[in-house]
Amino acid sequence: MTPFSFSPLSAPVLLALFSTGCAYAADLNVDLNKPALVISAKATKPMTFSLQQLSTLPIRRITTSTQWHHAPQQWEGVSIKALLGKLGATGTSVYVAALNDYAIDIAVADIIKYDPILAYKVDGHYMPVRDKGPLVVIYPYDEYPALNIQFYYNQAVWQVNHITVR
Amino acid sequence: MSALSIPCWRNRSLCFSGLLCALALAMASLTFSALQIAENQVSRLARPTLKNNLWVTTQLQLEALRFHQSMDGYLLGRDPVDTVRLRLDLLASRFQILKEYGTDQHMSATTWQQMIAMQRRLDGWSRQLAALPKDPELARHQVRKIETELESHLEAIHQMTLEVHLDMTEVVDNDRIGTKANFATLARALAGLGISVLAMLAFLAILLFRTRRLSRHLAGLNSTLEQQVEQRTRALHDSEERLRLILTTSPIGVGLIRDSDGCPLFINRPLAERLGLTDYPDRIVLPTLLDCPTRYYELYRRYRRERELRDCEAVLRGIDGPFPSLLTVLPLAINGEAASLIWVYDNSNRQQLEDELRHLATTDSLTELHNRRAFFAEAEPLIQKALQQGIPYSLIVLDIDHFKHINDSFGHPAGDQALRHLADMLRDLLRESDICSRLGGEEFAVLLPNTTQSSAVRIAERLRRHAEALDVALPTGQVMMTISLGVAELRPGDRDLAGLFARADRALYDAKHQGRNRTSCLQ
Repeated sequence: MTPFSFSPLSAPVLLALFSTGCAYAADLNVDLNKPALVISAKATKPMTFSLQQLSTLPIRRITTSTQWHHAPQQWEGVSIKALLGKLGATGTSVYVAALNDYAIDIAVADIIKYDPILAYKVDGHYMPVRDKGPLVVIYPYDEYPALNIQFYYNQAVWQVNHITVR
Repeated sequence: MSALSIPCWRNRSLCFSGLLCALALAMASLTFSALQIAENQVSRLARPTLKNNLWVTTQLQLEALRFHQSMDGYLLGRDPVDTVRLRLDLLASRFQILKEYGTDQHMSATTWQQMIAMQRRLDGWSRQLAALPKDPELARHQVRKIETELESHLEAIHQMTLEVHLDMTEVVDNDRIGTKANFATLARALAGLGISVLAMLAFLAILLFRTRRLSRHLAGLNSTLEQQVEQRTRALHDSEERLRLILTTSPIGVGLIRDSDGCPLFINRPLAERLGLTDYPDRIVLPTLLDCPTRYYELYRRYRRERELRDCEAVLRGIDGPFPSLLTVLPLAINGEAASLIWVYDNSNRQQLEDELRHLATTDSLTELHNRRAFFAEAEPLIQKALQQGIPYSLIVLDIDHFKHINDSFGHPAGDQALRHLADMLRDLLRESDICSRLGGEEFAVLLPNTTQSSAVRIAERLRRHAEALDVALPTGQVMMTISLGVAELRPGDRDLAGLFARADRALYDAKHQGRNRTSCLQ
């Protein structure tokens, strides 16, 4: 790659090539009724949610680009702030863990300030595990330039399956 | 700086500044584009992608092992088949990311082929796991088969991971090199821009310096000019003052009078005093200045003819009565208006002196009668005129008898007294038109216009009788005297006074010869 010929097109083009290869997996491979998320909080029993259950909660949509995708995409899911508020969970941080054992602490202050979502749809489609599903933490990156640092990108956990309020 | 070099210099400076501007513009656009490219690069590099994230590559192998473990667990009856499916999905998701990272051209074609084959394989496994036979044994067999396949490809996965890793390092290095090159270009462009800006500043400084120098020069010129103007003004003022002083103190009267309305623009003191102008009058016109109106018209006509008057004798009305003067009038334009410059030279003293001198030159001081010279000077023209016109003229020449005796007996003052008495008698007895003269010594002459010889003889006899009766009283005694007279008449044959005079003189000689105290005339 020469210094002046960087083309942001090459990656998405190839991505598109490959994503058609596994297109069968999208939606078909997502079981909406299967337990997808466990929320643990102090003094309460762990609660399990399927995507179906999450879909019944108020929807929050964020249109933003991400570290994986330069073009903005529409993410659809449930506001973490609203979800935790609804459950009456209290704490200072939220420990978000993924299927592959990736895990990170998200400060409640950031959740309140930026109102990230637990997205279950991108561009109108449910996401299979192969495609970062079933749940992804998405911040409104495009709305707040301050979010465009690795610290917040690290908090964009995909394949989320467990949230612990601490 | 000469006048010629300015436009040339200005042209050159215009050219130069245009060149500089173009250079600065080019450098600015180059800098701008380099900046934009660098900005793109930086923003791309600043975007926290996971391409340099070793976590992903390690995760791939880890997920492969976990998938293997889950199949082991399933075969041992520990894990449900869903776990195996989930682990495969997770492995597949990591592989997908690996592929995304491997989208670089450095990746060898064989590796790409292997990766695509691996993708198909994973898809195949997914399908197989999704449709496991109901029979547990068959299912286990199927899973074991997948496990064996996975084991045979673990080395390939490792190779792929390594290649992608190496490729990533190259990409990063390329980015680094590209960034460095970008920044070098940017730095060069900035340096160029800086140099052109510096050159421009230097040029501006030179321009400013030149402008300052020019303006200083101009200011110097200006102040010199002002000084000169001031000096000239002062000099002019001084000279004007001097002129005014000269004019004011000049014994000659000077006046400047506007022609249109007779307004006196200037009148010096002598003129004002001579004319008795205490206040500046509104109007001065020549007719009112002149004593004699006819003389004014004469002068006016001359002025019209000659456009000026120079030293014209004119009698002006002064405060002490009329006085003779020499009048000079010159036309002059004052502020575009016609005016007359008038010089009045008071001639009264000179006239008087002249009169006195003339008097002294023509009069006998003792008797106040014409002297000999004056007599001839005055008589000769009359004689010429008389000869031309045939007017009768007679001449009497007379002489005191024995005058030497009077002088010797009574003293010279007595002689003088006798002469004076005789002169007074002549003045008393003769007409205004008669010309009396003491020719010298005791000899007198009387020219009688319009007088024939016989009339002249009668007049002569009358004179003789009166002289005889004349009584000259003196402290030293009484002087008695008689006179002898010769009479001659102008004859047509005469050419001048000399002939007439010679005859009268001969007649006198005759009278003396005949015994004195008598009148004689030649026949």
